[in-house]
Amino acid sequence: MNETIRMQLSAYVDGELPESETELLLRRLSQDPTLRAELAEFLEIGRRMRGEPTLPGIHALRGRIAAALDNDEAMPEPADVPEPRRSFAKPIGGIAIAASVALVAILGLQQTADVGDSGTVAGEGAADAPVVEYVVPPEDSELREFMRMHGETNSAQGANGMNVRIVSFPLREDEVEAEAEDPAIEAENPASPATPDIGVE
Amino acid sequence: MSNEPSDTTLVKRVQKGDKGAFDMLVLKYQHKIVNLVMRYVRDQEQALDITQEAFIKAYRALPRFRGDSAFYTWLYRIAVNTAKNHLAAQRRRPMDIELDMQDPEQYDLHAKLKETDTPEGVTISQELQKTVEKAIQGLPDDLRTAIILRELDGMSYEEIAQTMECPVGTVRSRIFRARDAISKKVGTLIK
Repeated sequence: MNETIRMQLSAYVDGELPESETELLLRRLSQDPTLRAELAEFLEIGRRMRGEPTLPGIHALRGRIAAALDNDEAMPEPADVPEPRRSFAKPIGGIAIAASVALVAILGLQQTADVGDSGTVAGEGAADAPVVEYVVPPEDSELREFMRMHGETNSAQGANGMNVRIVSFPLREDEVEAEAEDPAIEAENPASPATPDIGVE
Repeated sequence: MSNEPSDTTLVKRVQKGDKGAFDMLVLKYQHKIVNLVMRYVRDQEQALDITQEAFIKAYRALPRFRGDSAFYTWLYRIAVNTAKNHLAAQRRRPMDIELDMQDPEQYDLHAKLKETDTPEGVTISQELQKTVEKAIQGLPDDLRTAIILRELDGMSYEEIAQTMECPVGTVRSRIFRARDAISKKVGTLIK
């Protein structure tokens, strides 16, 4: 191993390595297990000189953690991995549903407006088309009486006569995320009450 | 070695998928975290298991770590929560409720280890301690003084240079050579 790098390592242990050299050394350390082993030795010498207690078995801890991470399928995704598709799909789905409802409502209104007093229906571009006669059926007096009584009963009960009220709106982004949140993993602030490791105070 | 810019660099590397950088963070903080966990559990093997679990949780959560707090503060909270959960699972009371967030090393781990350590562990530890002391005694005066001023008195290179009346570059070289010499004597015991 290059003696210059080892001397840099020693200075790094003491927090005395210039910033300009630190970046490169950290990159080397990340890539070179032998250099990390050397760093571990330098740190241990300092601990022994200061008489700091060391738990037996701690030297195997790094190996245990590395092995556990190697076997772990839930590896962290690199930071530059794009967001999953569902984050785009859900709002678009909501907008599509809202648009469909709005279209149905507009068509319904248009149809109502086009019904003339004469009882004829004129569709779009219907000026040149043959007129279709819409014959209003003669009302049954029994049925008319039933409708009148039904209306009076509803009024007495405070009903406004609207049988069905359809409301549609897209989910907000935060509602979507709240549903998708994974409770098994620590959050940015592990002390947050939403994390599983809280609860024993 | 506890400078935050260095941690930030390492965290960014881990977030890009560099496991070696995470190993560096483990190397840097494993003793502090074990000492912290030992305040909650009596058993040394359990303390190591909890420490391992805390580091793995941190690794999994690192992609979402934004750096609002220092990495060690964040890791410390994960370790405390993991230890508390472990106790809750075992229906035991924590040994030490009051935590000093600022300086977890003030806790007397020495006394606790003496109570729980195995005879074999004590022997190895004592042998290592003696070897280090012997190696230091065998160093040339200038190297021994430099490493003692640094490791025991906690002086900066600048202060050591003034004390020893030599350039900072010489201090850097002497401390490295002292470590190198000690490492050659104790290397096999540490590994």
